[in-house]
Amino acid sequence: MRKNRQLQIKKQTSSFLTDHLRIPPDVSDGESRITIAGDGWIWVEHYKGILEYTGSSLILQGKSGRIHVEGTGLSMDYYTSEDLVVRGKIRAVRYDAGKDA
Amino acid sequence: MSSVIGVSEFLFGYLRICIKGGSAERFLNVCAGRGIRLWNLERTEGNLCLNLSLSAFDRLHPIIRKTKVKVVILEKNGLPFFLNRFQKRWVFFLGALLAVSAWLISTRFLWSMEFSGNVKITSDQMKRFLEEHGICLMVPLGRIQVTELELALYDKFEDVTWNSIRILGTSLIVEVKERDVPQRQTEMRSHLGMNLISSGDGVITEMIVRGGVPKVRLGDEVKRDQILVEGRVPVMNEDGTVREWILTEPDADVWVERKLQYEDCESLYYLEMLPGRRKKDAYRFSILGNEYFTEKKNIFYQESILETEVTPKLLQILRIPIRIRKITHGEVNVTLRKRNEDEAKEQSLKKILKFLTTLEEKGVQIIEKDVKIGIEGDFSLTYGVIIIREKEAFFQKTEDELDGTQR
Repeated sequence: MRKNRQLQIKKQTSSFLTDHLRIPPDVSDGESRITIAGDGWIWVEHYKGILEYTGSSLILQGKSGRIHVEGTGLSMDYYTSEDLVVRGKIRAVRYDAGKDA
Repeated sequence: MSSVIGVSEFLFGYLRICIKGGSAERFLNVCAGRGIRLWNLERTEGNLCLNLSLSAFDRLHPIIRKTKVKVVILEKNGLPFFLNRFQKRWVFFLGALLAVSAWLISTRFLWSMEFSGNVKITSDQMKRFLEEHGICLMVPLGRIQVTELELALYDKFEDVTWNSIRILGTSLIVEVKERDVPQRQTEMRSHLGMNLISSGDGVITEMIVRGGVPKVRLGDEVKRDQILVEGRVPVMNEDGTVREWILTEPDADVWVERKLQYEDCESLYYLEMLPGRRKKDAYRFSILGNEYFTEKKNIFYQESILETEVTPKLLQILRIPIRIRKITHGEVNVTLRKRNEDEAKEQSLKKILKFLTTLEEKGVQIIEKDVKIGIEGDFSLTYGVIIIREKEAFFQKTEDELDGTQR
């Protein structure tokens, strides 16, 4: 009960900072940041891990949900715990709400 | 950010591996968790191929066991593998290393000297000057003091009005500009107070005097060394005696017509040289100024020698002081022959014409020629008279100057 309360307070504080101080959520909450250039290059930062990787799809676990990258001939330029770069013909980038949705 | 192979990856080596079976995604997550950097990840036929550094591969064992994947090494890249491949060829690497070292060391020394713009001052004189200042081939470039050399060059050669000495690569380039005073000016200046004299017997046919005192008239017969125009002007007293002499420039165009006796005697016998069949090549190597011959003596009893430069272009471009010259020894057969009358006359005629051409080149006009060619015994005789007209241009010091006094 006490733990839930603490989490709630933390969320409220974070929400307050984000709303009133206009701090971006990737800085305040550590949300995933995705940079897309055209349809052939994606740079993803702040993810938790890879859930699935095939030549046609890449599913990453973000803080507040899953990130689906769909396309063909997907390859990764590099992969570290901080960020990764995906190349290939990208068709869609989709979010699934909820941590385990 | 970039997939380009970094210098460190190449230096320390990297592998391209293929992950088969098990959970490839889990393998990636564990690698990321342990700070292992992976790049160029690709899915091919259900397998995951990726690059990782050699040091990271050593840490991969527990991860492989944990994620139950199989790892196949596809490629080994980078310097450690490259050197390993050539481990048996260490002599080649040693040679390459020595060659590079020799090249680097050789670039610290002077290998050639080039001179340009010098006409009066010969290249040998320039070389001697540089040697006097301790500059010769194979001298360390750092020892050459260019500014000091430039100043010393002005002191040594008075005719140098401008010079530039610079080091270009391993060459010393010396550029000079010499004094370019017109010949006429120096001549005129040096004739002040001198007399224009006759160079031989003859009759004056034309005379224009611009400076000095004329001592002869048009149509006068003159003897050798006779004064034509005096280089001093007398200033007279009232009683008609000379008070003083003023030195002047004897500037005059005096044309004299004179007879020239021509006599020539030439043997009908002559040596004819015919090239033989045999030829042999020899070489002369010039290394750092020292010469080495493959054949030093004459090869044939009677021979002609032709030298040609055959130094490879590469040596010239790299300015390596090695010069190779090919010496072609050709056999020559020398025989004694006798000319017949026509041949002898033709030969004598050629000689006369050559003599006349030489006169004309000197500015002498040929007015008339009466020359006969005859054969007497084994000799061809040429004799006759040539009337020429030439401009006098001989100068002699005046009596005052010869005495060393001036009134």
